[in-house]
Parts: sequence; C-alpha cells; structure tokens
Amino acid sequence: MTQAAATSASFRSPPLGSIARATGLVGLGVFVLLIALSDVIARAPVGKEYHALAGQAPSAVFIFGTDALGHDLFSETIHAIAVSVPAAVAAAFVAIVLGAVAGFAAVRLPMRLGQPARGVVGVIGAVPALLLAIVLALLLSRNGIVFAAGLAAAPAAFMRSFDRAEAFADSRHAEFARATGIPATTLLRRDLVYEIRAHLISVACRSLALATMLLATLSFVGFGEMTHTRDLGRMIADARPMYLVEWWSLVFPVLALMVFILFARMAAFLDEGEAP
Amino acid sequence: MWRSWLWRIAQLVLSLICAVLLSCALSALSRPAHGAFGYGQNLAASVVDSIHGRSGISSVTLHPALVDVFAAWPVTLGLLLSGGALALALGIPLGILLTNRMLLRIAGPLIQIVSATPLFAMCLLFAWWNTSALGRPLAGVLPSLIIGGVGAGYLQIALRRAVAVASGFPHRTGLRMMGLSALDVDLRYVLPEIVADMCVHFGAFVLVLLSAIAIVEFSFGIPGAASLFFASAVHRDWSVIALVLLSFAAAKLIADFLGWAIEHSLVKGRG
Repeated sequence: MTQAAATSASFRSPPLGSIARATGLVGLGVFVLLIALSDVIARAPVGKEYHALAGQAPSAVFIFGTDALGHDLFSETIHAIAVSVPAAVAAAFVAIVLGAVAGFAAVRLPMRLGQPARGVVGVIGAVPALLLAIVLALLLSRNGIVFAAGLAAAPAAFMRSFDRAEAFADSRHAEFARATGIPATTLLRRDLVYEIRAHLISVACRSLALATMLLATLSFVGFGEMTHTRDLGRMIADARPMYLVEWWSLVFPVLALMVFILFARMAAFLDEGEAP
Repeated sequence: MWRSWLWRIAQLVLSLICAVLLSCALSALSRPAHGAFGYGQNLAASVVDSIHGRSGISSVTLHPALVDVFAAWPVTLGLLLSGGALALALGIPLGILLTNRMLLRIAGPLIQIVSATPLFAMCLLFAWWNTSALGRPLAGVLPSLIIGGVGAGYLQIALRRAVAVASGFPHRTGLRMMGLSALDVDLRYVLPEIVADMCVHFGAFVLVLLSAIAIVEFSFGIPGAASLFFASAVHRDWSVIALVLLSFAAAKLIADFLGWAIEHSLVKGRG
C-alpha cells in the first residue's frame, strides 16, 4: 500500500468505510435497475413534447415539471440517465484498461522503458482532463466522445497504478522471486491478481466518477455526442438560458448527476474532497 | 545533493521538450496534408518553426497564435493567482480544522456532496445566487471564489494527509523523551515535514486550479486562455489549441519543479 493510500485508509474507521462503500455500491445498483427499466419508468418517450403544457412547475401530473419545449422532465431525466451512465461505464472501462492496467504493466517493461513512458503520460496528464478530452474528441470525431473521455481519464489512473506497481516491483517478494528465477510475466500476473483483488472496485468506481464528470462537462460545453437522446450534461446545457425562471429544468438533471457521482465516490471510498 | 538537482532539472527540460513536441504534433494538423507522409512533413515543419520561435498563424484571427495566447493569458493568470491566494486562505484553516476527527465526521458528508457536484453546475448555482441582493456585492470576485473553493478542497485534503503522515513519525516521541516540549517538536520538526509534504503537491494544485479556471471561464464568459481554447476548438484552430495546451502543461510542469525544489530545500534544511 502506498503512503497516500495508507493515510487515506487511516482517516476513517473500517466499519464507517464499509458502510459508505456498501451504500455507494447499492446506489450504483439502483441506477443500473433504473436504466434497465427506464422505458417502463419514464412515462413519455424520448423527446415527446407537450406544447400546451410547456414551462410547468413540478406538480402531481409532472413531478419534475416540464421545460420550455414541453418535455416531461421526469421522463427526460430517466432517458438521460440511461444515456449518461452506460457511456460513463464504457469510458471508465477505457480508462481502466489504458490507464490502470497499462500503468501496472508499464513498470515491468524491458530496458526500464516504464520510466520514460511514465514521463510522457505525466506530460499528457499535465493538461486539464477536460481540455485533453476535447482535443481527443476533435481528433476522433464526434462519435468517439466516450473513447476520448476514457483516454482523457487514463493518465490519472496510469500514474496511480504505476506508483502502486513500482512499490510491488521493489518489494521483498519481487526480489525473492527474481532471485529464484521466477519469470517476470509470472510475477506480473501474480501482482496483477493481488492488485485487482485489492483495488478493482476502488479503481473502477473512481474512473466511473471521473468519466461521468468529464462526459457531462463535455456535453455542457458543447462537445458532447450528438445523439437523438440527450444526456444529463446536455439537459443541463439546454436548461441554462431559462433556469433563472424555470429552476426545475436545471435542478433535477443536476441532482441525478450529483447523486450518481456521489455513489461512485462512496463506492470508490474516496476521501472527503478527494478528486476522482 | 547537486546530482538530484541536475537530475530534476534534466527531467523538467525533457518534459518541456516532450510537451513542445506534442504541441507541434497538434499544430501540424493546421496545415493541409495528404496521408501519413504529408502529416510527417507538416510535423517536421512545425518542429522547425518551434525551434525558430514561430508558433503558427491562427486560422480565425489571422494573427500569430502566440500573440492571441499571450493576449488571453493575463486574465487567466489573474484568476490563477487570486484563486490560488483564496485557496490558501480557505484551504489551510479548513484543513487544520478538519484534522479534528469529530469536525470531519460532521462536515464530511457535506464535503462529499459538494465534491460530487460538477463544477459547471456549481457555477450555474453561483450565477443564480449572484442575481440575488445577497450575491450582487460579490459579483466581481465570484469566479475567483469558485476557483479558490476548488483549490481549498484540494489543499485541505493534502494538509490532512501530510499531518497524518507527520504525526505518525517515530522521532516525534523520541524528541519528546529528550526533553523538548510538544510545541518545540511540532514547530521545529513536524511543521517543516508538513510544509515539505504539501510542496510536493504544488504541481497538482496548479493543475486543479487550471481545470477549475477552464470551466469558470466558459461558464462566466471570461475571455481568458481557456475561453480562447474553447473558441479555437469550435473552429479547429489547431495552432492556438496547441499553444494553449502547451502553456497549461508548462505551468503545471514548472509548478511541479518548484514544489520539488522547495520540498528539497526544506529537507536539506532539516539535515
């Protein structure tokens, strides 16, 4: 365990940490259920406009109200969650494979190539992830937004993973293994198994939180994926011109996004204020 | 000792060269190319231009990209400095307060909720608050306040971790047994440890501030370097995009080096 991880673990007592993690995982599970049943839960299909009822405040009929175009915001939020969450999961997967796993493997590269690789990733990671995601989205075209967000989230995961793997590589068991002629690939496999067992949930949920934030922000600033169904970021961006009057058009998508990120943070066991 | 300085300076120079090369790879996209060979030629031309200090021409304003980026940076620098100062003013007391476990338990859930709120949503919330009578007097400093708040969030956690590490050092007990008072031990030995530990995070702190600045500039329409980046990205003005990214990366890398240098001096000072 790295010094930072050890310190982080020492902040909270284990039972409190376990409760937080379990709550986070249950919350993420609820979101999965919500997505699976989205077409049943959402009363209106995607983009359905009730022109005569535009700009209605939350009521018994429209519990989240309607926006300026007459969209039922409850249904739209459910549909947006069904777009945002799977996209974030895919982006998190990219970040895990190209960030966390690649960072772990980079330490064992021959001829000490790991250090230069870390240096290059460090330079790429010196750019704010949002700006990096935008550049990658421009390079990969608008259909590659999810991949771009995953790639932009990868440097942070790479660095953390690299540092943990370096501690493994310098450990006594590694020295012993090398001295007894155990192949490097076997050692890597062993360390990877231990790493996955100890940190997979944490790394995955951390990447999920970051990817969700990145994708929502990309959509908010106008670089999101241009699909028929709006994601949460685009819903918030669309609500921007009117939100001082129709607060409900902004509040509910923001709350949905915030709750999902909060669950991901809790499942990742992130410290208070720690960035994903 | 000088070897570690040389090594770290070499690392900084190599990182900056790497950043310039990556920036050239982006600015080469601004020239028309046919296939990989054409792009290779453009890349070579872009590298040569960089060596001669030429940054390319903005396809939107037709000015040299360097002129456009230099014109936008003072605003960003102002936000960086004011946000950084506010982050220090808020984050360090907050971090000290939150080292108390009881206070952390009380404030923890609120901090988790705030951390889970995307920054652009926070900007919209503050912009709404700005329209009220209570928020209007703060209109001018609101962007700096938001950036400072984000920085404070980062600093408080860095401080708490540094304190947790420093308070666990075994020499603390040993020095007490040698007759030094708790205050003496904390001021002369533990405090430098904490400051040194926090200096290591200076680069990351700057990156956090720059990330916040990007969203704040967009949300409030502030004409800084990040706004220039967004406008250039819409028009695929690669020369400007590359230069803005290079300037952000250089700021972070230099901050990393400065943080290391201060930490190293403190460690050396402690003997």
